[in-house]
Amino acid sequence: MRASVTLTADKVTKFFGSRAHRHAAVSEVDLTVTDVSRIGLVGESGSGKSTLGRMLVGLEVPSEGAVYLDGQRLDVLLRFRGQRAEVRRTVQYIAQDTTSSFDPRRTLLDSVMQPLLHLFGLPRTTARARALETIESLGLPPAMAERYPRYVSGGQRQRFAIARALVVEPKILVCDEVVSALDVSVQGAILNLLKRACLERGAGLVFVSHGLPATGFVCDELAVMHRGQIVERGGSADVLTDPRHEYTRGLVRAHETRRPVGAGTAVLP
Amino acid sequence: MSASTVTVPAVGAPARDRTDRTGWWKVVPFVVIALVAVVGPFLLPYDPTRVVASASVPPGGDHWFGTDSAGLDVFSRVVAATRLNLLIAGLVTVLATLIGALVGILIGMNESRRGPLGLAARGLSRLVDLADAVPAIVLGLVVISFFGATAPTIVVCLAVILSPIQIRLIRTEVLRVRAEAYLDAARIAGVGEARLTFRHVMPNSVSAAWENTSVVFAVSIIVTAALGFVGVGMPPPTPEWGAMLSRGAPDAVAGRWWSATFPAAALALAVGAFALAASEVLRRRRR
Amino acid sequence: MPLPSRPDRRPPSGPAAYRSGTVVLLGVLPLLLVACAGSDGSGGSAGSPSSTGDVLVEAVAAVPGGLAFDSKPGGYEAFEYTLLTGATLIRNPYVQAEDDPNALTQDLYDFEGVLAESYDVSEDGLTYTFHLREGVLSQAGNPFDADDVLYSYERKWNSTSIAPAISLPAITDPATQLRKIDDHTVSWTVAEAGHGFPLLAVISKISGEIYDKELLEEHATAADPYAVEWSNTNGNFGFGPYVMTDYQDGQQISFEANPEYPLGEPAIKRIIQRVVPDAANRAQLLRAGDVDVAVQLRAADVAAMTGTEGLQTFSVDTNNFAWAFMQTRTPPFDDPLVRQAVFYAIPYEQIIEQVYGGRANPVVGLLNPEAPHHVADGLLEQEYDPQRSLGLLEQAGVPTPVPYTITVSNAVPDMEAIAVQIQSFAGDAGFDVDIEVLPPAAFQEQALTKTFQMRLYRDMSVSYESPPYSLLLAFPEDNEERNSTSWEDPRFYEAVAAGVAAGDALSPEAAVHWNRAELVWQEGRAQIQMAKVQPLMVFREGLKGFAHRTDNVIDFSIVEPGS
Repeated sequence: MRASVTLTADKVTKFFGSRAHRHAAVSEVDLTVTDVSRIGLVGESGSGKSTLGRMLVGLEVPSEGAVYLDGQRLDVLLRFRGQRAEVRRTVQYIAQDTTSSFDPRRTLLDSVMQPLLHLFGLPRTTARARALETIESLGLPPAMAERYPRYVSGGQRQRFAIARALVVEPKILVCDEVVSALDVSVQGAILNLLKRACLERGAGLVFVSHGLPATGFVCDELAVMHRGQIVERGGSADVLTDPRHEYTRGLVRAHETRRPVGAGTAVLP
Repeated sequence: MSASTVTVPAVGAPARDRTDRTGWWKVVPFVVIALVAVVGPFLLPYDPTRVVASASVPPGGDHWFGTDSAGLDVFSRVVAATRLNLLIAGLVTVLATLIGALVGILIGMNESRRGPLGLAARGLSRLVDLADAVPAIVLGLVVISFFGATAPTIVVCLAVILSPIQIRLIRTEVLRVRAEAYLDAARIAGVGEARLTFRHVMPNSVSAAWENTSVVFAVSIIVTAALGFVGVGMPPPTPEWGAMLSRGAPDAVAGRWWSATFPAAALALAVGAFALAASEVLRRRRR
Repeated sequence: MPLPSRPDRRPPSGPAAYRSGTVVLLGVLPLLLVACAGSDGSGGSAGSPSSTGDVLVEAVAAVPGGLAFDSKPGGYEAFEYTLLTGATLIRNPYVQAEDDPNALTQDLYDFEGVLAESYDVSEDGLTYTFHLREGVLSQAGNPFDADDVLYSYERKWNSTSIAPAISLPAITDPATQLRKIDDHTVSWTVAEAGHGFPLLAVISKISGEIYDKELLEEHATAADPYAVEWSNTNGNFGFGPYVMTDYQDGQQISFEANPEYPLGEPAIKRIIQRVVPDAANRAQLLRAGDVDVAVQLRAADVAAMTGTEGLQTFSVDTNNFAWAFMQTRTPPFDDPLVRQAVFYAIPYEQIIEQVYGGRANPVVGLLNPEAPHHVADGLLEQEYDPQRSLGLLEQAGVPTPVPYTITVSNAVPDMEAIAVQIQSFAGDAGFDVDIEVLPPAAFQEQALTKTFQMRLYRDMSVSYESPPYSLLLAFPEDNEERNSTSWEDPRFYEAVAAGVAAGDALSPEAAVHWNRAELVWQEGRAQIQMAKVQPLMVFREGLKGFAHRTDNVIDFSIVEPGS
């Protein structure tokens, strides 16, 4: 399939901390994703994968290097409202933290409608209808959408988060540890949902995770991050069955107890 | 796959609060006091600012609460003072919470930024700490001696002096809210920073300050009274509980207890009634 | 099993009512504090010795602002300190008071020697020669002689002392008026015979304190040539009946009797002045028997203690006036008719009854009515007469009610009480009164800048018995700053001058002129005296020797433990 949208990270570095004691969370990373990619960013905590993911959507600004969307610098595009809206319609993001990913004072429906109101300027009735459509397509009962976030389970909230991201029909979706905090029995359902939704809508996927089998299931490609750098990348199956970098090997070994997975296999043990 | 229902059972709607009906009586004492404040001054037996009898008459007979050392009727003054004390305390609470919201959000949103905005926010934070470190009464004394003791001056002065309580609370909440994921989600949804601050950060940060209003109300009544106690209250013979306490305290030492005790009791009742009512109102809001 | 939903921000139930309870408790705290105030006193500690003839404990409001009169500390404590540790050449003898069997009072028209043994007057009445006592030692052990006298007056006139201002008209320049005849003789010369009595009246008071020249010269510096600052912080630089032995700032001062005192060592051997800032607490300590003497009490408390077993209050007539001063440069008191109307708008009896519990006397005229040959013709008695006031206001042509503001200091609570009384009764007399309470510094400032309309305060005229002194005290000629009312009438000064020119200030001839001056003063009405307050100090039973003095402090050198 031909890519129509390209998101490129060009030698991006991100420092955290004061000038005296700074630490590179991401160090000179090159990465390109498109609307046909299904790439997983894996690594342990602190490897920089989340930061990289946030830089890709413009929630963090690189300290060195830059991110380009279709050849234009992302930070420049985000500076102006009109172009910012365009960026956001194209690249969406789902955060890890389910407990605070929704404003507790708004209904779930309100939150799902929000991007439609702000990025498309749709009138409320239209936005409402479209939001409900997306919500239903993800298998959620419309009545549940009128509830407040604290009255639904973590898994349900994550589905709503996916709905909120997909409602604008983005070309690229960056997901940050979206199932890590969920119960194992729920993870599989969410992953299936995600994979299918992206396929149906023709959206590219960047899947940030520390869980190897899950990532391998969802993504075609894997990029392994360690201490801020990508140490190995390649097709999922290849990386998992024949890891080259020592770190990757360690990672795979740590997941040895699980069956090696390939596309189409359910994740649940 | 079809849009089948989710197999995970949903958490049901919240159970009905069992104490729903029985808490309403808690609001009554304050409502009564508020009524006294509004209607009281029209029903006084004596003019609260005029000498109506001999000095230091004990309670009983014509003067239910006796007269003070100047010959003013204590009952009329205690009732008349309700309006002033409550008004001041109410205005101070509202103003202090407003200032708390604005300044708290300003500081909380900007203090970890680089550049001049961050510097200004951190500077403002230090200023607030300074204002908090100086005891309220001392600050009040200085400011009011400067500007004169009128009701508006006292309100503004106390609101500024007591606002650090709310500022600090709201700032802490803002720092917490800033880390919440829904802010990023809002940004991703195209919401601008300013709108983000007012539509998402502010509403989620001020609830703690709301719950704290009873404390601010109590403190402002007490500090107004204390200022009257140290002699920078409203000009005599304006009926105000603190000033009445101040003038009556030496008499109490000598055994003429009534001119200080009744205003003290009124003070305690007002503070307690407000706290009780506030706790009930806020409990309902939380559900 | 579903993950728990996000924790509510609901505080644990229970504390809601608990919190209200805590707040109520906090509100009740003032009540408790008031109730416990009696037992709280920075001075009422356990084990305080009561006077057994050896030690006397006095509850005072504060330590003196300074220990040197010339440094202008002012106030009760400073005056009492000067009297305790200082001595003058002469003083007024004490006589039994006519209106109180338990009290003495000064005979203001007689003098007896302290540091001087005796004095003579020259034929022309212009020179007073003082024969100084021999063999007197200062508190520091230096011998007393004429040099000390001359030095003292040199210092008074070369420092910031108020002595020069209050010594008028008798003393204008000690350098020429005071002369050393020999080591134990000095003479004062006055410009006219009419200044003679005023001279004696002024040098017999605390402003006439004589200092230890040798001691002060030891501590003089270039910046402080008369050791005023040194003496202000060290004390004990005179010849008085007591020596300060211990000074704990803000807490207490201890004194011991001086065996070298010319009039003999006092009966009370040790005095402890204990600082108890609150007047009600001082009264309470006295009631409880923790102190022997309490001073500067509230009139209401003294009234309540009158007739109480174990305590003595004194009702002798004093010169402690409650004054109302009016600013005559600005409306509404720039019109003398309005000022005269105010005279009838003040509820004098109410004030005496309610504010002072009956412990105050009405006042007639500015001068001491006890003076020999005193002429009282034409002097008005105090009267609250609202009709008269309204009539005068109509005559003045001003619209009623006339609004004005009374200013008082928050340091003197009875003034505020008087203001409230005046306010309540002002309406019927055509006035509308507001009250402004200021801290003492601001209150003083207003007097200097003349930004008041009416101000109330209590004050005494220390050389009350000297007519020119009393007449000129508030209206010094050509002294803009000290004339707070800005009232000046050439006829007034002419009458005063004529009285002085009559020679003997206490003669019938002079008395005619004093009366004229008083009448001009009455017509001008820039001042109103509202009452003479009876003594605000109380002794425990068993102490003898309370004397009323024109400086209104206690002379402990004559106090004795009695039966």
